[in-house]
Amino acid sequence: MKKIFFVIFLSLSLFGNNLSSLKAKIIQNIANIFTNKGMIKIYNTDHYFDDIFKNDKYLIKVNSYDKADLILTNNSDFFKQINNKYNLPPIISTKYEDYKKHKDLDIGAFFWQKGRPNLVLNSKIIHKRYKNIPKEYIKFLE
Amino acid sequence: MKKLCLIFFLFPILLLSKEDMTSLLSDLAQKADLSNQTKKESAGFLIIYTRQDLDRMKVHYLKEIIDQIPLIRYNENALGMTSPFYVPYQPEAKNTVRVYVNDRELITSYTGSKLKLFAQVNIDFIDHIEIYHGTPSQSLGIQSAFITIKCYTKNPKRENTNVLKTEVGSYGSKMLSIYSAKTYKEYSYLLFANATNLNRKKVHHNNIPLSEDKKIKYFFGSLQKENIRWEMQASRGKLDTFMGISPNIDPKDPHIDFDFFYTGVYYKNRDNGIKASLNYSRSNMKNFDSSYSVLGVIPPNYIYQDLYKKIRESVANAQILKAYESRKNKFTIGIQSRYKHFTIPEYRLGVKNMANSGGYSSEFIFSSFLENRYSINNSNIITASIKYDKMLENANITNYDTYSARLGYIYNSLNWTSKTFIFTGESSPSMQILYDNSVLYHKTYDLDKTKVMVFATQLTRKTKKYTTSITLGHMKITDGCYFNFATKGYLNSKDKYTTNSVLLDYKYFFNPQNKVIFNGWSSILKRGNSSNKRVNYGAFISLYDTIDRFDFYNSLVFKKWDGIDKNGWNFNSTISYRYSRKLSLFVKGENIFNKALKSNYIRIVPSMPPVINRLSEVSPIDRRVWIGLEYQF
Repeated sequence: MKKIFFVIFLSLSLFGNNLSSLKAKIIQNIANIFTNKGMIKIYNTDHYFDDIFKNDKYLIKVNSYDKADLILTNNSDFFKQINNKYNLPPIISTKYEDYKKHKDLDIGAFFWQKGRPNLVLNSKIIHKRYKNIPKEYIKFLE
Repeated sequence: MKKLCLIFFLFPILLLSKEDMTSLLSDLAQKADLSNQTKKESAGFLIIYTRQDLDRMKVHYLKEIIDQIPLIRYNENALGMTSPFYVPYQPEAKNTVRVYVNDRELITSYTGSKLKLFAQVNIDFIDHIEIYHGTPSQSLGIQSAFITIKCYTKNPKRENTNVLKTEVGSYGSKMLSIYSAKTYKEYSYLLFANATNLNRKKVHHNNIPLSEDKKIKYFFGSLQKENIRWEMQASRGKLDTFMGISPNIDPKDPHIDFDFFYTGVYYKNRDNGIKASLNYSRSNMKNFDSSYSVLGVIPPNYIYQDLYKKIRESVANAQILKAYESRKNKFTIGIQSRYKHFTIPEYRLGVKNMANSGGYSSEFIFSSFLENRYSINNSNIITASIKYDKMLENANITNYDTYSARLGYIYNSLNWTSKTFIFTGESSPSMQILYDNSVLYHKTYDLDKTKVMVFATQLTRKTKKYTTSITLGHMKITDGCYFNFATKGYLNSKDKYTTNSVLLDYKYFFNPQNKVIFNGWSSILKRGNSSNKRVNYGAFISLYDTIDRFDFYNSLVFKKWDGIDKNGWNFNSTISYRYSRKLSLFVKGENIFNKALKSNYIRIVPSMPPVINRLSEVSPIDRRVWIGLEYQF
């Protein structure tokens, strides 16, 4: 009986992990466009991404944006106000409307649209700050 | 043809892409599909069309999905309306297929299920579809059915966009859809509008064209704030009704003009386990029918050549469900009431006015329902439910009480799942049968309730790469209603109908974006003690692929149907190209080889002796190509 419990627990946790691990993997890959660090510090304000830190050993949640390697946010307005005071890390918006409003600030956006998750990279900022980005991401430049 | 099919199926597999960011995004789209939040595994055996599936199919209407459901076929009645169990001159079986959009059942009072029309309406506002088959489940709705199709509308949180879609197709068909779905703070909304001009291939009988063209305008809107959702739908259109009721199959432009309105409020709170809803719908229908020769005869000898019938129908529903959950039990109690009303303010046969409803116009249904799901442990679950319905008819029509019960056992382990259900229940005659028998045919006897017993079991093996299952079913129906030509009225059949079925399913994932689905099935229907059996069998294969900016969808439905000479082979294919994130183009072929299963129709001239006219080999699925464009703004 214990074995069955273990198998069920494992299968449920695997299913649960699947989604959060997948989101974590996507965020990790996005962060790796801009940083070579093995351990990536993320400052996150969007509850949709709260679970990415649960089982991923390469993503570290930080509570201060100035210590982060990447900011995930659904509120770019806030960072717009403090942009001049701090040297902010790359900001990935999780709302496309926000991203369109703050194209001078957000380096990209990862959001749901038309029933699918989408990734958009801001070509203006990327070309200014980064000489090369991996080839496979060129198609996400807009 | 077979070689060509093989090339279509295999070509995309040869080009499978490696895992990259695009693959990860597609994987997330599949794993986070909204069906994971809405499906109810304990409600029966489940077939799911995810958002990504429907998107790659570029599905237009539900009829495409119905054609793929195992053990049944897609069929249309003599008016060109969807009716999978159509038998000429016989009443629509009441609890066979029921359709829901979100939590609302599509139903009208007199004309029955709205599947007839909804199956041919554009469903671009639908996110995903769940099909429950095998055994009826009371937890899915007020009147349980053998097949329950649940369509869920697009979720604004997943859309965040405005989309314009335009398509042109064979025979001059056109479709234009637009939807907007967004969230603002705690509010979210979905607005969808569609105009369809669907021209069907004309069938000719004695050089008279039989038209099934449809012109429909459709609107759906919803607004949600936290736990409360408001919905509204309106539609209007003109439907050409094929051969109408013309006994010599020589109709003169028969058609229906209709308009429909619906609104409803829904409340759902996972914290307190309460789900409640209130909704109302009404429709007006004007039916024009005419024939070059004779349309009908009113005994003893009044012959008429045209018919005009106006029907007004309305349905109001109220429902409340409360779930109590403990560590081992989930107990749900629910009550529902439904008020159905119809009037026939105008009904003319030739110059004779028949608009006498005899007072019969409404039915009030009260239902109560109890369900308990008991988890013996994490692997073994037992479900039990009972339901009671009270049908109160007006104008001295007999009232009916019906009971149903269902017992289920579910076993779940890492790689194996088994589900077994036994259902027993009753159903009362539909309002149309009650009306026709008492008002049109002046019958004074009461019809018995139809009794149904179903036993079904399914064993499934799941791994990361594939899912395979076998399903066995046994169903017995007694006291089914049928129309008797000799006595001119509806009667209960003295024969028992028994159906045995087997279904094999196989699903293989090459990777998250690329999968193949296969099923094969057979059913044997036996009537009473007769040695004659009706044997139907079929198979289905579909392949979904995404390669870079291309999406491919191919499917082949094979059906061998008793009473139809030629086997049906329905091959469909869709190729979509995403030019940019905002713009995509697609080409879609339906019934490409024009070999889909055909239908046969008969019409009886009420003379002495009666003359039977036949129209055979009619394809309810047209061979058609669509070219479309989708633009996000």
